[in-house]
Amino acid sequence: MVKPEVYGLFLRVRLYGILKDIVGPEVKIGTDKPLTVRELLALLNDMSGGGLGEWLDKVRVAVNGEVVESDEAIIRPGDDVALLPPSAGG
Amino acid sequence: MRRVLVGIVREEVDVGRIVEGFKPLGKEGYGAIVIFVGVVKGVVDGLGVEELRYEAYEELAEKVLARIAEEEMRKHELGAVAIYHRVGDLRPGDTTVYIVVAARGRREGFAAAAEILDRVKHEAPVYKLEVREDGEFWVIGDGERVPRPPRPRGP
Repeated sequence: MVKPEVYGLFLRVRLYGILKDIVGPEVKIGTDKPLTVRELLALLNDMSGGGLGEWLDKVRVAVNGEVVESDEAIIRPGDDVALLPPSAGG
Repeated sequence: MRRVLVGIVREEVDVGRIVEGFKPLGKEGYGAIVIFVGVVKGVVDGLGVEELRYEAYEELAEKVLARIAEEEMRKHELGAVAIYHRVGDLRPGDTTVYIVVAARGRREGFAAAAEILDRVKHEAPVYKLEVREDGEFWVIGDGERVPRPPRPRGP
C-alpha cells in the first residue's frame, strides 16, 4: 500500500467555525485518486462519527481558495480544501 | 489613490485616514462619505458577553471583500469603497468591521453602506464564537447561536 505522507498523495482539509469543533481544525486524507465533494463530505462525516450530518446541507467547500458549487466537483490529491459553515461576519 | 481598499486585519483601522483619502473625491462630485463601524456588544439577550473570537478563511475572505466592493461600487456609482474586517479575540467595545463609502449623495451612500454590510455578513467566510457568561456559542449566519460542541480529541 502506498504511504500517502511519503508520496504527498493526500488532501489537506482545513475546517472553520463550528466544523472545526466537530471534526478537528485540519484533516489529512491519504488518497491517490480524485474524490468528489460529495465523497469527501461523506468521508469527513464518517470520521466525525456522523457529527457533520446536520451541517452537510449548509457547508460550503472551497478548493484552492474558490468555493465550488457542485457536489460532483472533483478534488484531486494535493488540492487545498476548506470546509466552511454559514458566514457570520459583522 | 486606490478606489477599493479591503482587508482582513488584526488591529484597529484608522478610519480618519480613510476619510482623508476619500475627501478629494468631492472635487469629482462625490459629496457624501458614509462610515459604518461595528462594535462588539457586551450584552446579548440580557446576558454578558466576555469576548467574540473571530476567524476567517483569509485566502478567500479578502477576495470576497474585494468582489463585494467592486460590485457595489458599480451598482451605486461610488467613488471609492473601503471594507475591513477584524479577526482575533475581541472584547466589548472593540471594533469588528469597517465600511467607508464615497457616494454622489447621502441616499446612495447610506444604501450602499447598508447593502455592503449585509453582503459582508452573509458572504465573507468569517466566523465567530461568542464567549458569554452562560457558555460559548457559535454564531451561525445572521444571529442563530449554537452551543459550542465538545472538541474531538487529538491523536
